[in-house]
Amino acid sequence: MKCLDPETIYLFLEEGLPSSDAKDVQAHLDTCPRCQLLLEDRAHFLEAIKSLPRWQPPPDFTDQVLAKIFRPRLDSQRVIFSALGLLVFFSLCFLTLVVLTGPYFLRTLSSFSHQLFVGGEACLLFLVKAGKVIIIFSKLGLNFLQQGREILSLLFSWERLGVIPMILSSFFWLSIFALWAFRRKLFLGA
Amino acid sequence: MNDEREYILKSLDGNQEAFAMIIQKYQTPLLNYVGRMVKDKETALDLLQEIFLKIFTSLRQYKPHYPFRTWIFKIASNHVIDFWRKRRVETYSLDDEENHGFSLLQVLPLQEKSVARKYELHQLRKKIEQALQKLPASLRELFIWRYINELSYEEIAEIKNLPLGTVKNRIFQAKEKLRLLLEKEE
Repeated sequence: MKCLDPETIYLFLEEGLPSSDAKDVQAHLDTCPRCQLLLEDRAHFLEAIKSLPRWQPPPDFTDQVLAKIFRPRLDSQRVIFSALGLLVFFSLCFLTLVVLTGPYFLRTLSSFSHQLFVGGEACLLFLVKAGKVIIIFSKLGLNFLQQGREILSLLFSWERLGVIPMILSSFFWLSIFALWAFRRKLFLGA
Repeated sequence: MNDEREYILKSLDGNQEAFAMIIQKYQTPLLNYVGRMVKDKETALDLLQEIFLKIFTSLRQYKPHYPFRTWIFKIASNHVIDFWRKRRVETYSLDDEENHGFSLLQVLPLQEKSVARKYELHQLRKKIEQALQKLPASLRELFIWRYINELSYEEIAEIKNLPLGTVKNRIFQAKEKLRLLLEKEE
């Protein structure tokens, strides 16, 4: 049998060889000091590899992960119970107020409703006035539009056709001026 | 094994204790894998938290006929690759390695020196740990799974979707390259 190659030695050490091959290897090892040295070396190497220190996570690692996964979520049941709790709280507050104020409560209530009525009336008046202002402004806008239309029809009437070249030429000069003013931005991108 | 299945089912129902059991079982093997892959314990712990989060969210996709340990390591492996991609960490493919000065001929000199016998066991472990960081990532991963996480060749082949022969060969290459790195250090 030829001398053993490292792959066979590893397989022999890790019991990965069929039993017949393992017997042959063992027979060769008994007679070959070079292969014995190789085996010894690889065995020591494997032993070191297999006994490499194992890193340990911190003791609270599991809790950290669980805290990330199972974050307290806002479930619907909790929301309903909180809302009910608030309702009960405010109702109790109101009842306490009624009990504490006693006969004055109704008077206070009627005064409050009167104030509410006055306030409502003021609001209504404000809304009416605001409506009137909106109507005035819209009439003004309409007038403005009508005036504009009349001016345009005057300009473009056949009799005053000479106005058009004037407008066109002023547009031309305006665009020339704009090109000159924004030449850097337009052509250099600066 | 049945306990594990029970923990999975309970975790799916949102049972914290059941998922805590899964974490406790796999945190050490996964830390040893991720830690040695990213070379830094703090980063490894952050990654490990993300991996467990991923495991929890993907638990519904887990198919019971598939070994759970293999499934977990597959998730961890993909997460480590994602981490490298995000950080643009250089990883070597096996084809690249052949052009990185490692060849099997170099690994197998005729008159080889005994690396192992030159050091005491504790010294050798230290040297191996250092040399392991110089090993190409694709070989280091398989090596860690085999010798630190004690996964079988079959499990590794399943995780990486590689033929069994390829896995065995790559792990052999990893061992011999590690020895070569130790020899170079002398």
